[in-house]
Formats: sequence, structure tokens, C-alpha cells
Amino acid sequence: MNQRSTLTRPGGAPRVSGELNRALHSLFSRSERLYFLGEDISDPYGGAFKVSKGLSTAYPDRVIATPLSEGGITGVANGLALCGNQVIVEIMFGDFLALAFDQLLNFTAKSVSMYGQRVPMHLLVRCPVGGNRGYGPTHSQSPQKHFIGIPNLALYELSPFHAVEPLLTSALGSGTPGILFEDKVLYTRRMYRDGRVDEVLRYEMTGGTPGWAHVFPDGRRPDPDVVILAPGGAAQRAVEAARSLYDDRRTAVHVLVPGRLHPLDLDPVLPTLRAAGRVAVVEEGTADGTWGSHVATLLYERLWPDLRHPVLQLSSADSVIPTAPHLEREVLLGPRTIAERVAADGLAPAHPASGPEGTEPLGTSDGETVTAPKLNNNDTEYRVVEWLVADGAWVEPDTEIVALETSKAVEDIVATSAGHLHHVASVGSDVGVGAVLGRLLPAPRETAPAPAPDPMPETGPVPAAAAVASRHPLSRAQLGTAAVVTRSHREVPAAFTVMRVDMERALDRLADLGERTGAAVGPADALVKAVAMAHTDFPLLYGTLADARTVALADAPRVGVTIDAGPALYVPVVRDAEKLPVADVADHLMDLRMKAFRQSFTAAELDGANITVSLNQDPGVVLVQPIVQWPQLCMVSLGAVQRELVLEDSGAARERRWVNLGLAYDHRVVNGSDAVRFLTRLRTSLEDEDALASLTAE
Amino acid sequence: MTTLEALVGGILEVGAEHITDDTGPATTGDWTSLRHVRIVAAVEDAYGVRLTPREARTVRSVRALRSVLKAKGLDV
Repeated sequence: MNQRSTLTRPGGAPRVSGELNRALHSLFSRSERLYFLGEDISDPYGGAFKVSKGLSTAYPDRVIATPLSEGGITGVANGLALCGNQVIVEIMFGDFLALAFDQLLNFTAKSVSMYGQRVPMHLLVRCPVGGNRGYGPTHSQSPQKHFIGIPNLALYELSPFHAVEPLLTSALGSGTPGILFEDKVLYTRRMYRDGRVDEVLRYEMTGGTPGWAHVFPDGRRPDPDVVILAPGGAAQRAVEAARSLYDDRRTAVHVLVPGRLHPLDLDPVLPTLRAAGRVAVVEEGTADGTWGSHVATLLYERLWPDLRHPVLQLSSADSVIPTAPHLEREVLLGPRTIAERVAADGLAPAHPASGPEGTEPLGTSDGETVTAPKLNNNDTEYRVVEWLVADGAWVEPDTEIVALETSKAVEDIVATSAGHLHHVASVGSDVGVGAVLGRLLPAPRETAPAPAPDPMPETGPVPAAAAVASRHPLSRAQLGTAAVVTRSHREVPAAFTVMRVDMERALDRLADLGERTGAAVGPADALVKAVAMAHTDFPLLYGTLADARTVALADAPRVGVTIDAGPALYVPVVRDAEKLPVADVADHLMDLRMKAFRQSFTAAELDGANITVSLNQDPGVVLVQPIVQWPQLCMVSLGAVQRELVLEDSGAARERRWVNLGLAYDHRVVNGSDAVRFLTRLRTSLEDEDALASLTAE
Repeated sequence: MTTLEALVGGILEVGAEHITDDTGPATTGDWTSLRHVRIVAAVEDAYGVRLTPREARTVRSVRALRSVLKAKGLDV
């Protein structure tokens, strides 16, 4: 009876579970000292995922269904391995590896080296891992990260690229015990064959066994724009992300899939990583303490001078894994998130849809190219601030020809040979390392140069204007603001509520205070203190989203204040405002305004706010709807003082001063009623006599 | 040296002849909070002094500016 036939589609690539089953049958046929232990692995059940179908029938003495005791199973396997046998253990769900952790850590791994000589342990623990099946918190985890760094314990991961039998043979034959993690979603997928993923993506295997699978767009761009490192099931999602980034942006994303997670052999793929300089590491495990952070450390050690961007680490959320499919999708890392994050973090430059012929070719016959060198380890792009030699002029070697601005300095780039200089990159454009700045031609060009590639990949292609009078390059500071507001609009589904506040009493009281202290105190000073004082009763509004369903609450209010004193918009942080007299808060704000004007903040003064007050008090400003500064949840908005005539009950008219007080809030966490209660509290602080007395107490 | 009136007038974008000792946010809407910061910074740079945050909050008129500078030993 051929049990495998039920797992293999005639004429097509086998499913991953079928390939596993076939490999196990082959291993058993080749080795009489191979044992297989696990729960419910005997026929007719054949294991929870049918991977062991047929094995107990064919090899009843060496395929042993065990009681439900992961520690016991692994202990027996340790004894068999110590006696020189080969042993495969199946843990029904990787989550249950925790029950075998003591055996793996203190016996399996240590047996290799604790007997005075190296003792080979031919033992491999297989376990299905990962979610996307609705199995809930204790049957969906990816526990790989908990086993990284145990001496003499190798970690492997199944993928649809790596042939299974060589992988199992290598792992069992090495003498170093190991764990093979198998993303359970892969079981029903088909293995890749013949170097082709789909009509766009191809792959090659490199680095021996288990080695790496290297996925890349078919013949379009030889060098990667960005490389994603992804094991096992996450590799499948990374490949989907690579495909969408190629389709949408013509970004050449290469995916590297290791067969062995630890120890990680980076040598075979270093040239690819070095060529890209932009690397993302993705995995399905939950956030923090991840395989990706370990890989990032290795990459920084090996590739620091070549990296153009910090290693992007993507994992699932810091959360248990829900059972409900729609919630599970929120927690687990998926292809869409991978693609969005790779694009949003600037790792994926866009290319013209026309393909490589639309980009500036390197090393063409049109003279010597002048490219942007790597100037530091901080910046991924530099700005062309000035051409120092006119277009078409003759230059000698070592002539300074173009000035590039990094985030910290301006560097002059020199010509490496003589020639007529042809400008390619335009002043004000941002160029990456290696981008073509210009050419040194033996004779002046007669035709108009092609335009430089669009310098703003995140925004996508910009429609061509009919006529451009001039260009206004954004400053570094404005680009920083652009990044913040773009992220806010992308990440935060915000709503906005406005409340009108009578400021008569507050302004009179603040004026009195100013008279007494000789220094002005304004509505902004009072509002910052009022916002800080409200923290105790509205802690949720000062929190940050830890994941899709959890808000991390702050221990104390730290109020960011928008200050636009000219050169740039800053949001420094006021601490302890709830404890300080309002005059001291006013001093603090004045100090911050001066620092903003002089651009002399320290990083600590700009970091750590958990709520922000947006001050918009220029004359005539009625209301400003602010963004919500992710990952904060709220931003309070204060407009300028308005004046109006009101009719008293007595019939007399009087002037009233008032302001609009607004609250922009992350509607995923804060509802309209919360916003109204919070604004009411602030309004009371500024209108009520007793509350004002407390607010302005000296 | 530029006079205090000219310095303030330059930032308020009015002629020095329109600046008096009383000129301040209470008398002109041109003296906004942003311009207040610019005035304080300009005074600091022009006269080589630094104002404390509390002093910066007290200088709500040209007269007050002059008073603070005199307290720092400057004849303005």
C-alpha cells in the first residue's frame, strides 16, 4: 500500500507534508538504527498532520506511539541517541516544546560535550509551529526564539524550497542534535521545483545543505534593491510581499530563506546582502527577543560599512495569538504588512514601470560615470545641494564638482578623471549611495540629458507638470516633519471633537498672576498644566498602542507641546507639569521656545511625550485640527482667543473672550464620549472658579 | 549699534519711529508670541546677554526690555 499517494498530486510538485512523508520513508529504508517517537503517529491516524502515515505499518518496531509526555518522549529519545541510534521525535504542536525544554537544554544538548569527548547525538525533534489556522493561543506559537543560542543545539526550519530528505539527512547525520520547525500552513502547500516560484519570481539554492534559497525577480534587475531574510512559513509571506512590491513599484526584492536558523551561516549570502545594503528580517514569532534581532546583530557585525539603512525587523505583534480568524490576522505578520513596512521605511525604492531601461544605466559607454559614494553610516540618501562646475564644462581630475548634503555636513565630490561634465542629478534631488550624479564625457553632449530618477520613492510617481518655474527642496527639518505626519495619517484613524471654552475667568486670573509675578502667563501655560493634571482620571488617553488590542498606560503625564518658532516645528516635552506652579510651567515653555528658535534641543528634551498640546494662537486662528502623533493616542488643540458680544439675562451686552479647544484622538482606542468627557474636564479647569484656583495656585 | 527701537521695529516690520517704550503685545497685535521669541533672541545676540526664561516672560514691552538690559549693566 502506498500511503504517500494520498498526499501527492500526480504530475505536480508534491505537497510539503507529502515530501516530508516520502523523506521519512526513505530514511527508514536506508537506516535500521532510525527510530521515530511521537504521540498518535501510528496508523491509521498517522500523526496530527498525517506526516507519519504508513511508517508504523512499514516499520512497526521502530515507529513508537507514545503516551502524552513530551519530556518523557524526549528523554527516551536521548537514551536511544546516546546508544548510537538515530532518533526523530515528533512533538504534536511546537507549543508543547516547553514541556521538553529541560530535556533539550540539560540533556540533549549537553550530552554532546559533557562526557569528556564529543558524543554525537543523532537526534532531531520535529514540531509543527505557527498560526493562521485558528488553533488559538496554545497551538499557534512560533517558539524558535526561545531555543536560540543553546550550545550544541541546531535549529532548522522547513521551507517549500529546501528538499526535505537532504535536510533531514544532514540534520540527523551532523551529530549535533537539532529541532526542525515546520510551519503548519506549509503542509498543504506544494514544494517549489525547477527554480521557478511563479511567472515573475525565480529561485536558486546556494550554500550547500541545508543552505539558502535565493528568490529574485526573473532577469529584470541583477542587483537587489532590498533583501528580505525569512525562514519557513514567513518566507512564503515574504515572497508574496516581494511579488507585490515588484508589481506595484518595480522594486527588486530578493528573499533569502535559510534552511538552518541557528547557527546561521551568512557567508553564502553576504554578497547579495552587501549589494542591496537594505535588509529586512521577518519571522512569525511574536515581538521582542526575536531571531530577527539576533540576525540584525550578526548583520551589523559583518556588513556595517555596507548597510545603507538600519535592518528592519518585522515580527508578529507582542500578543497572545487569538483563535478568531479576524483577530489572529491582526496579530500575525502577513504579506501585506511586510510589503507596507518595507516600502514605508524607505527600504524599497520605486523604479519606473517601464523597467530597467527607464533608469539611469551604470557604466554605459557615455564616458565615466560620477556616482554618489557612501559618505557615512547614518544616511541612506544625500541631497544634491549644488553643482560646483557648470554643465558641459571641462574638468580635470580631483576637481570638486558637486556638493552633497548629508544629515550632518556638506561633502564635495571630486572628479576621478578628466572630461566634459554632464549633470544627471538635479539640485535638490535626493540620491542614494551609488546613484549616478553625472558623467565625464570626452565631448559635450548635444542632446538634452534625461531627467534624474524621482527622488521620493515613498510618494510614488508624481504626475509631470506642464511647466515648472523652479523647484523648492524641502529642508532636512521639514523632511522630519513630513515623516511624522505621513506616519500619523497612515497609522492612526483619527477623529476630532471641538469644545468652546469661556476664557473670561481664566484670562483675568492669569493676568492677575502675571501682575503679581511680573511675568506673563498665558492660556497655553495653563492648558499644559491642566492636561497634565487630568492624567490621573483619564489614563487611557495618555497611553500608547502596544499592539492591536492592548494599550500601554503611562506612569506619569509627559506633555509634548508644538512649538513653531521659525526654523522648524518641534514638539519638546514638559515633564511634571501637574506638580509645578503654572508660572514655572510658563518658564519651562519659554525656555523651550527659545531652544526651538535657536535649534538647540537635546534629544531627551524631544523624546517621551505621551500626549501633545498643539498651540495655534496666532491672531485670527479659530481652530486647527491636529494630527495624532503616533504612537500617542491624543493631541489637544488650542486656538487663538476670540472675542464676541453676549447678551446677559439682564439685557446688558458684554464682551466675552473664548477659545476653541479640540481633541484629535485615535478612534481605535478613544471614543467620542471619552473625548467629550476629557474636553469637559479641561474646560472646567479653565472656567470653574475653584478649579482655576487649583490650577493657578502658587 | 542698532538701537533697541530699531531692533524691535525690524522684527515687528514697522519703522523705528513707530516704536515707543510702551510698545508691546498689549499695544500692538504685531507683537505675537513668535515675534516675542525672535525679539528676545535678537536682543540676546545684539547685546551679548542671556535672559532667563522668567526674564524672557517679563519683557512684554520695550520699556521692560530696556529695564532688564539695564539690570544687566547695559546702557541702552
